[in-house]
Amino acid sequence: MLLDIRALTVEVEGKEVLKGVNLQIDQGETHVLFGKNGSGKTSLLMTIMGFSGYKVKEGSIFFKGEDITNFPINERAKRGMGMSFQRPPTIKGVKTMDLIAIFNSDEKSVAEAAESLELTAFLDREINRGFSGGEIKKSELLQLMTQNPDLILLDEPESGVDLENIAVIGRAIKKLLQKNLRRLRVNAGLVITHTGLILNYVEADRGHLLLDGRMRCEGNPREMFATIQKSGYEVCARCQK
Amino acid sequence: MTRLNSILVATKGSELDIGGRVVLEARGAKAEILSRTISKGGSIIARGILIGEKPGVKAHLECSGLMLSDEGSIRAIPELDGRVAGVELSHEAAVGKISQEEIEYLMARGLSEREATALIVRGFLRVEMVGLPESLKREIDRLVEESEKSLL
Repeated sequence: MLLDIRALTVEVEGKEVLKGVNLQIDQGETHVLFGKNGSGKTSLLMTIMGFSGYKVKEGSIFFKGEDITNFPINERAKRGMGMSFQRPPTIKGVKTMDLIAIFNSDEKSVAEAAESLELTAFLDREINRGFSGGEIKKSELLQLMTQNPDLILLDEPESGVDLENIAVIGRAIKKLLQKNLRRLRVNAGLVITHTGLILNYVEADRGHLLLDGRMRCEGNPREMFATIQKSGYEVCARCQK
Repeated sequence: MTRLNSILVATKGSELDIGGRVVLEARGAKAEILSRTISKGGSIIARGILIGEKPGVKAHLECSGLMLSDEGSIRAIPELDGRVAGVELSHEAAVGKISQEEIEYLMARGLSEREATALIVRGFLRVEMVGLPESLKREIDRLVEESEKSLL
């Protein structure tokens, strides 16, 4: 098992945001996380990545068989986790290229990845400063493409992105998740989506519904999304597992 | 267009009181004052004064300070002095610490806390000054690099 989350209870500023969450993701699988605003989806991703402010009260997170519940963020990144942020910070004087340089990729593949995301002109710009919604998402994906993690955490990769760019982003995510490979695919993903649009580009294996900090349903992601669209989250939560 | 840039680093025992004043006395004159200050035990006063004397002048002042130690101090004193209608003067000043959010963002890309802090400090001191001759640019880069060493 690549990621194994067991009975995870998490607090943010004294408030329980996750209540006994279980989640297993195997190599090569893509999972989708549905849920209303404030249901705990981002908290789950932030806790998996290890951000301060997300206090694990109970339960544990295993990654590649190792208990990483209390590991610092960079140790998780080194072991093969990567995340795209919904609202990443700007950092004075630090350029997109400086972040890309962390991963020591060869120049040619960086240039190709930047080109495929139409971001070449952004490499020399201060990270995230004045970027549009779509440019932020693309720059996050560019960083992930050079990092090439085994587990990819995507927080609403399509929000604030126009239709033309959604196709660009969809292709990038497909590549990240090695959707072109079948038997040899190892990279796995956990994707938060509200609009479901990303499902049109990226084939997902399993869907999960998070409501009020609890996992309430899991199943075929397309069927779940259709139910949510038609009758809402609550109806989806009543389904038979 | 007048530009005043200062990059100040104060380690323990140093006291810096530095700044600039721009008087905009011709129609359409423009100015920008920018200071980046870091205290690691030393005290810094960063001053900036913009005086608008003619309509249509436009100027901006930015003072950013990073406190990297419990000792020392940074005082940012931005002053705007508009003397006629139609001037456009603005400033932003901030003194603070390195944001945890920025550190953790970089850590998510695999940098240790120390490496992330170093990159943020380096970026903070990297001010792009327009119109400098290459040799002076190189000299400034070298001095900034030297100053970084005293911080980390």
